[in-house]
Amino acid sequence: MNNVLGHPLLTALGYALLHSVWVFTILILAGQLTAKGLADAGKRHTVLLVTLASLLPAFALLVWWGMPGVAMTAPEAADGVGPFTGAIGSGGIDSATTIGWLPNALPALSVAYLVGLLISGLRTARAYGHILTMRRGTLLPDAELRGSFLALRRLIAPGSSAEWRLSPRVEEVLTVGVWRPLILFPLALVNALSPAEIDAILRHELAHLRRRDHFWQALQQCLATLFFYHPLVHWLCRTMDQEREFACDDIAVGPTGQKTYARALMRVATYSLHPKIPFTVPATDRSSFSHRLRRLFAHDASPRRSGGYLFAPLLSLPLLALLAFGPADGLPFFGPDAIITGTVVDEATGDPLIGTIVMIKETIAGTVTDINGNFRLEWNGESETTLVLNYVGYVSKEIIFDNVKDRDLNIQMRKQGSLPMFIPNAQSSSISKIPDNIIMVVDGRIIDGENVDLTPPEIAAVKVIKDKAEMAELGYDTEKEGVVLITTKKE
Amino acid sequence: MAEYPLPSDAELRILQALWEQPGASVHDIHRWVCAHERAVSYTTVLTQLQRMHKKELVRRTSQGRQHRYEAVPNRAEVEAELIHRLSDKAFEGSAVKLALKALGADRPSPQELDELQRWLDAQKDGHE
Repeated sequence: MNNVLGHPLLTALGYALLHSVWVFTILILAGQLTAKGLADAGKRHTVLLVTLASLLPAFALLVWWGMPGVAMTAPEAADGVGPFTGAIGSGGIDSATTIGWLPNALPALSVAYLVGLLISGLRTARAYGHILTMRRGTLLPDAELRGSFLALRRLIAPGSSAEWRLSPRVEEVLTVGVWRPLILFPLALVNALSPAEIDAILRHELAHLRRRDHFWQALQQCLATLFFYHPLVHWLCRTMDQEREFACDDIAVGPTGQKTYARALMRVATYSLHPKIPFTVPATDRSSFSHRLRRLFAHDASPRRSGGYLFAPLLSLPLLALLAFGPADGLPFFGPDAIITGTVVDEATGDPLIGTIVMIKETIAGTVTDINGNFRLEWNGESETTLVLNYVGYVSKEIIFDNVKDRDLNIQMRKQGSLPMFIPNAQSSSISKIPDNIIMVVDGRIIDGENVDLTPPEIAAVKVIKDKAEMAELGYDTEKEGVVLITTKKE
Repeated sequence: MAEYPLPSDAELRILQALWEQPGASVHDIHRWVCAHERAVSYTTVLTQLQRMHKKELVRRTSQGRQHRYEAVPNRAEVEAELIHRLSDKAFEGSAVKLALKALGADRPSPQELDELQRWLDAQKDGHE
């Protein structure tokens, strides 16, 4: 009896396991791409969470689809299942063939999965047991701190009844518990932090509670346990972990000031590390913690990648993507509205400038002048537009194109004067003035004074970063044009 | 510091009440525990106090018909003892993430922290 009942289910599960590999990959990639297009960490987290949650119904559908009886009736049942009808329909047909040449492998796969699930589930259960022990033997902070905590809780997480306790059992700041969350500080840490730092850390934890992260994280952990075999699920969870912290940082940093907040996090990190044997993580391998701290200072400058946002939902519907991607990319469908032609010459000599880059502002459309300095550009926009011209050693120029059809432009470019940067002459030269739009960093310190006493022989290496994304990652102000990193020789 | 066993959870609750209200009566302690920790019955607090008195965790003075209690070890002593005895039982950073950690999922290395500290010192605070 058990055999008869158990066998088709195991086959269906095996089928779902196999197909979940690609179905989950598509869903997760779509989710990640959608999230990438959003500027707000909280929203990114929500998108990723929805993506993760959608894996469960997708898996359930796959199991249902894998039942041998259902697979036979696939084409009729496919009607009206929803937006994924197409994908599932083809999957159903697939299953019939899969079962054809893999009759024994699917149940075996299911058994292997169930064993893995048992191990994975036991690990989660053990961690939950740990959490329960952590709730015990805690102390209340003293009355004054309790008062400020309650005020902060009313302010940041008004609906929450979470308590704040000090525990000798934990080595870092944690929020534990799904139904009755508890903020735990290491007992020894509280005395080491200043009131402002305690405040900053509490804000962070309360931001978690305001977002109900304690609940979402439990859900995330359940799903991660269930789909432990899928590497992209782990990737998704890691991204979610990061976005969750970013979102809370954004809420918590507000009135505290980045520096106090970052210092407070540093103190917690230093404390948590100290009692442990140092890890063997290579120094170059930056943890996400570094990224978080640096991000606090590069806050407004996170690169916007709206391309992914448009593209992502279409990923699950490749056919539509083909149709829709064209216009989104700005490619002309019905021929250009106007043809812009022109010649670029040197203002002083009148010589043609070969290889001048002519771009339509804020697009990727552009061209390069030919040997006679001529260019031709097709434009299919309605309104007026701006052309941006760039040539090495010349002042960049912007020309407003008023959309009069087939205009021929004659553009003159002016040679740049002396470079704004310093040019060291032979032996001693100090950096006389750092231009406003450049950040100068000597041995990791930002120099914003007028003079830096540096002679060329002292300099070991100079690195110039102009890529905004890289600047943001290193925490520099991306409003500036670039960063010059100078490393001096050390005796 | 005197040699006494590590206080249990229930004992810790009463000690905390006494640290905040030295010379409290059983009634005061009962009220404090109910307000700040969990609802327990009056007799539970009373028997607990008698047991703690026997263990010399609390001092008792009679005042009329009432007993007044005071904690023997002070807060700092108990904290130090707790940290000393329990820190090695600490929750190891398990791969299973059930707790929301302020530091996020992974931990920085000591070198990384040094580097971050230097970098942080060079930053200007964008707020106020």
